[in-house]
Amino acid sequence: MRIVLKREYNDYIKVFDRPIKWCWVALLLILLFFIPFFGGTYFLSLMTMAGFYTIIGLSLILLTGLAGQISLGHAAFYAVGAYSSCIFVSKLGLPFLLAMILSGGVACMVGLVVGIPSLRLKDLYLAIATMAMAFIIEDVITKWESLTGGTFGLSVPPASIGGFVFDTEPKYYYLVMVIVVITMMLAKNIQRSGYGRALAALRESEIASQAMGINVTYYKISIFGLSAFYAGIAGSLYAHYAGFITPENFTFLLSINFLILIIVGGLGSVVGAVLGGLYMSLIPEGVKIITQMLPGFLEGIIGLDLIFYALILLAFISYQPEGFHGLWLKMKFYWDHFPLYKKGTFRKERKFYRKKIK
Amino acid sequence: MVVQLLEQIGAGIGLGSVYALVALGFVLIYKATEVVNFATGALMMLGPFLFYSLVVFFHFPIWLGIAVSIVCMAMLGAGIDRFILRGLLGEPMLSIVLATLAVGIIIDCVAGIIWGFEPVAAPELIPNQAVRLVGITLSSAHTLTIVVLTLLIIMLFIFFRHTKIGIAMQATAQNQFSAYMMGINVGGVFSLSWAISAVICCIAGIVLIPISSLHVHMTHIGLMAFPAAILGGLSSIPGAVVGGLIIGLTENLASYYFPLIKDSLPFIVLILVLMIKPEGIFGIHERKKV
Repeated sequence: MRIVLKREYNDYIKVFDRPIKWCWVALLLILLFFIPFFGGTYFLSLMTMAGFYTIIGLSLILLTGLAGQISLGHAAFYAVGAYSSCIFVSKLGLPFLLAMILSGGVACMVGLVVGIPSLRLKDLYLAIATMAMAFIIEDVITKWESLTGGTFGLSVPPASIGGFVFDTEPKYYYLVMVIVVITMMLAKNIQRSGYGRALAALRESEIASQAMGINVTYYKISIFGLSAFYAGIAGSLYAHYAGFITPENFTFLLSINFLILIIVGGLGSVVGAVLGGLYMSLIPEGVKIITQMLPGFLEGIIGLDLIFYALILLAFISYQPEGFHGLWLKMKFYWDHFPLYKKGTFRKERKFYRKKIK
Repeated sequence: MVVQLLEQIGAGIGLGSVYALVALGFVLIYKATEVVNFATGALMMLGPFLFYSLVVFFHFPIWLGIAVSIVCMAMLGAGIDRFILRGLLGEPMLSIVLATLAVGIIIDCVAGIIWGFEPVAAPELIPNQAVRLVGITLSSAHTLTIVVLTLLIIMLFIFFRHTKIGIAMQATAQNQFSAYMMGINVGGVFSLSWAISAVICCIAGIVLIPISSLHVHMTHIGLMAFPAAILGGLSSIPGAVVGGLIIGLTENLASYYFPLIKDSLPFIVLILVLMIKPEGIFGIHERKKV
């Protein structure tokens, strides 16, 4: 059994509890670096998609997992990031890197505005309010034809930094991975810093954290802004990768997909975002394999893949609500306590449903 | 000018009645089980498709078609509760939202595979003609929705006030634990409220056929029920009706007077109302103990 003793405050805010984890990170980075040498172009494109999804996952893990706010409208921030980056580069002629950060900033502004309802709204009310905001933003993008091209869409120039154009698959892969690593480091640091712990307190009980001197207004609005910033960066990267964007790329279904991502990955930690991102980009392949095994008359039916996604999601929610990350923790726990593992360790407590008292 | 406005208001109330019905279905489930049912729109779409198949392919008379599809939907609703959501009691809200969304996606796709994603020609429910009421003209379809909404509200009122099961449902909504102690079959109440909700959605979908054409994307119309339910206050049945009417009215008036923002105006109204009254118009401000 490995128990890490925590003796002082600094032990609690360490990046990793055991130093060996740094080696794992280094190994992972080396693996990421060498993937383009042995993976095919198609596999690389999947990994790049996983990178976008990971950034979105981080954004939602900060918002939902850490601060406990629910957003059903993250596709809107993603869309704002994508469109504003495209407009900055092609209409204002800004360099890509600046445009990407600025588009994150624009998305952040929108996020701050959306954050204002979160001050008074909770749970479902907030979810529906963010959904309403997303519909409004989608409508604005569709109607503002002079700027966004309306339903015809916009074509996006490829990304370039200082004359170096990221036009091939491996080049773009490296660009995305660098940004993924930077955003992950940021998210991890946010989680363990005072700011992150204030957010966690807010998630557990708003009133109690207020009593402890946490400025609820500031934290709630700022986490919306930060989360939207992440989503905007991901959107900008996606736009320059896809080369062409229309409002149909950013529908309500996409917002739901993002939520599925964090549920399947696991809400609690940064690793969950990575696992969820990998899941989201690899699952269409898995479903393709399953569909090929089915009898022939089911082939080529539209909507079959969506049914599979939904079934997988239902299975996760019912049997493994903590996602892949939770599964990993359980496996680790099992081996740590190997002969002593008891069957009911992770059994859910039976709860009565209504928790509020009127 | 005034007549035109009144006619638009009438049509808006007609459309709003459908939203109100779907929102009613949504609120009933929320009140009883605290499950946020994002599959409401899909249930609303499935009912009329069953009705369509029964009438067109199996040559049922219209009244029998409606009755059989209502029974099927009630069973489906209870089944969803029993086999999918009962196991999720006490999970965080996000999980439940996603579970119901998944159910909705499955229903959508299965319906799309069976009936195709194109609009189909539905049987005529009522002859299409204008109804004249105190100087203004309404289409028969809108009149039908208003009449059906009124009838259903009266029936629900009687059901909740004067039947034993209705009172048991109210008790469960108040406090599940006490209701359980008093010998109420809480699980049965859950299934029953799902069944009633599915039936209401089915009726809403059927009366919607003359207004909108019958196609799988009707689910998106059901999506408007969430703003309606939230607007009125989630745990209030009169709130759902009022919210639905407001959303329908704004949508209809906006498409007539401000066509540019017709799609987003209901949502803008929703956000404005929530800014002023975060728990909705009829919602109760819930205090939380720390």
